[in-house]
Amino acid sequence: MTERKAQAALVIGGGVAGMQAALDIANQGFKVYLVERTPSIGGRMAQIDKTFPTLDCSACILTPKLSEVSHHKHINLLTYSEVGSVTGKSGDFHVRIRRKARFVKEDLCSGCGDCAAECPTEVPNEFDMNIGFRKAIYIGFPQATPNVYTVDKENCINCGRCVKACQRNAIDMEMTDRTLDIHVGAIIIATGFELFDVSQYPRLGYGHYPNVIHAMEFERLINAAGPTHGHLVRLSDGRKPHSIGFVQCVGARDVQKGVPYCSRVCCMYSIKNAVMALEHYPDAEVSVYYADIRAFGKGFEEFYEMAKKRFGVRFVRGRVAEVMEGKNTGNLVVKVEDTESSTIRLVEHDMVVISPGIIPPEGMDTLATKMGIAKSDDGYVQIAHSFFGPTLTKVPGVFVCGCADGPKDIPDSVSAGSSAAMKATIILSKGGA
Amino acid sequence: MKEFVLYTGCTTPVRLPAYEAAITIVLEKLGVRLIPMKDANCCGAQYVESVSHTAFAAMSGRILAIAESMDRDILAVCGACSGSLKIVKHDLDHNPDLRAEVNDLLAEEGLKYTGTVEVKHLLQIFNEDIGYDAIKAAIVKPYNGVRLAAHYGCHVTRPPEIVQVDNPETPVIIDKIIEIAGATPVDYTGKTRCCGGPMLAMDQEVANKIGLDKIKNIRSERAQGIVTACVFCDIQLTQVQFGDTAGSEPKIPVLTLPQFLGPALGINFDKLGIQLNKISPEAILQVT
Repeated sequence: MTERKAQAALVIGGGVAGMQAALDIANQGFKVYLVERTPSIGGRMAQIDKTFPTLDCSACILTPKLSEVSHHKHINLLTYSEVGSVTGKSGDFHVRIRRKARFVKEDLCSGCGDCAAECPTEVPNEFDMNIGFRKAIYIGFPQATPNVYTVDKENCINCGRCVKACQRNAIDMEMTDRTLDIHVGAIIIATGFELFDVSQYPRLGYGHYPNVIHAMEFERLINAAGPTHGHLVRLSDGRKPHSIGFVQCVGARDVQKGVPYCSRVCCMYSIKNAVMALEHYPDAEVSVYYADIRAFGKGFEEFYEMAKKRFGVRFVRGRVAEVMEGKNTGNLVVKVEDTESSTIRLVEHDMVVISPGIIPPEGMDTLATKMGIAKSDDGYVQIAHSFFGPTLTKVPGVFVCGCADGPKDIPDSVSAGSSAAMKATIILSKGGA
Repeated sequence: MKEFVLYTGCTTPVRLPAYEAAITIVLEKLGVRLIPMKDANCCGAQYVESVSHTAFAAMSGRILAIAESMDRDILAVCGACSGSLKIVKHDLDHNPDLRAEVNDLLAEEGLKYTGTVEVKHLLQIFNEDIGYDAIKAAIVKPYNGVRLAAHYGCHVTRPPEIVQVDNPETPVIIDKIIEIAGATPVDYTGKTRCCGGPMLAMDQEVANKIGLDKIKNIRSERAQGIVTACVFCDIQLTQVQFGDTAGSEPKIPVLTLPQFLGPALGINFDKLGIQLNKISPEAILQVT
């Protein structure tokens, strides 16, 4: 038994898909290394305020999963870490992990926050889409897992106040990056997605007009743990918006921008956000400008009907041509052709929310090269078979789930995570190869 | 003194000669001398371009080759011309087959395109060759806060990766010069939209609608004048204020950037051709 093949798996990406895959493998008794690039697991789902079509609080259903992952005896959680090199073959991969220095000892930090209270440096918080602020020693959000602080050395001024404040001597400013070599039988890629950069559509005003925001910024603004404590306000003057327009299909279904595909989630998250806007301000007027509504999932069509009938969200069929700003009011005028009545309409809103499509994450090219896996034309991981291999890559022993192989909503990401876990454990249960 | 070959194009000398005159004298004042290009031809913009790309490349290629024979970079004063020359230069520099074909045609009159000259629009000369500090230093009669709206023109700033003049969505050069000269640049809705000029030949009704929309947006910001950097824009934004659809509100003077800058540099109206402007800008150009 000394020649045993690896009885462990590597999951790359700690979002909801990667977490599900890790839990399903670990619950079968195999060891899992869960590698996450950022300081905390949780991924995009942690940033979202509510889920569709049930309007569950996203954090409320995610947080138990976060702690389950972090406390699981078979899961070795490696946050703030990246995959270096990968060699070997199915059942017998050798992977080098680079553990970036977080300058805080994970085993000593209790997450009390004494350090952040002392830190004099404030920078925009990435977790809040840079609307709110965090310190240079930080956790991105209250439920960050592991609950361990990280020093952002780019912004740290090396004043040493946090080191003095820490009663557990957990902060080590001399920490350096370390490498960890692991031996695994299967690898699951769950690297997720990125939002399309909507400033590539200058005509829609994002980046020029403060009251044009995108959907993830909206999520943070309506979130009780967000930068405004859940008060939905305009970024120009802090006033409540009375009229909100949602602009659909931005950075999706647009060949000219290299994103010919449908992002699958934008219709539903915008209907959800439109409903949430009315939950916050029942007197508001909310319009959604859409190309066509794709409410294909379980309960989605009913949710769409509810948004129209019970909440009174106005749906206007037409892709927005331009968003203009009133120079004194900060209000916005949306120019759109209503294709149901063939009229050009100019509609004034005091807030416009752009719904970005989703694209493969930064670093996907490098990762694909390291793994030797193929990518499809749109930049996502190519799957081995459209029907019978939705989580299989072209390399044996390497699997994919979540948005790494294409846009997915939360339920589909979780299904794919479980599916990839099953494929991985088939290899592991054969004793490796 | 820096020297450039002046390529006026077709429209400027015929329909807006004051622009050419004003450019020459204003640049001279700021230390840039312009040498006229002899025996030039049309750049081929839009009209020839839409029929044959090769013919278009040959026409603009000839201008580039003439400038090469004069050993100077080109100043193209018209938005369309500067756009054409830059796009064709880009094509000839990246497409060896097209370059060979154009050079075959040019060989008949002993010209050759090798890619040694640069093409600049007027805004680049102000920004890159003269610089804001030098312009500021040359101001002798600053304006007294008159509110002016800048209009850049599509072909001046687009496509940005080729023409490299200014940010096409938030251009600043004209606005900065307005400010340096003591006037107030006024931002307005749809600033970087098309003036509608190119539509004139096909559908005057649509062209006027686009142009008047622009005038309306400028008027609602209480601008007292419009400063342009393209012949076509200047002509279009002037002509839409006349005719049946124009309405009865007072007309807003349209003037070219050098005509605006000239008086602040102490150049008199006659030399800038101010009296040739269809809507007199004299009231707003009264410097203190």
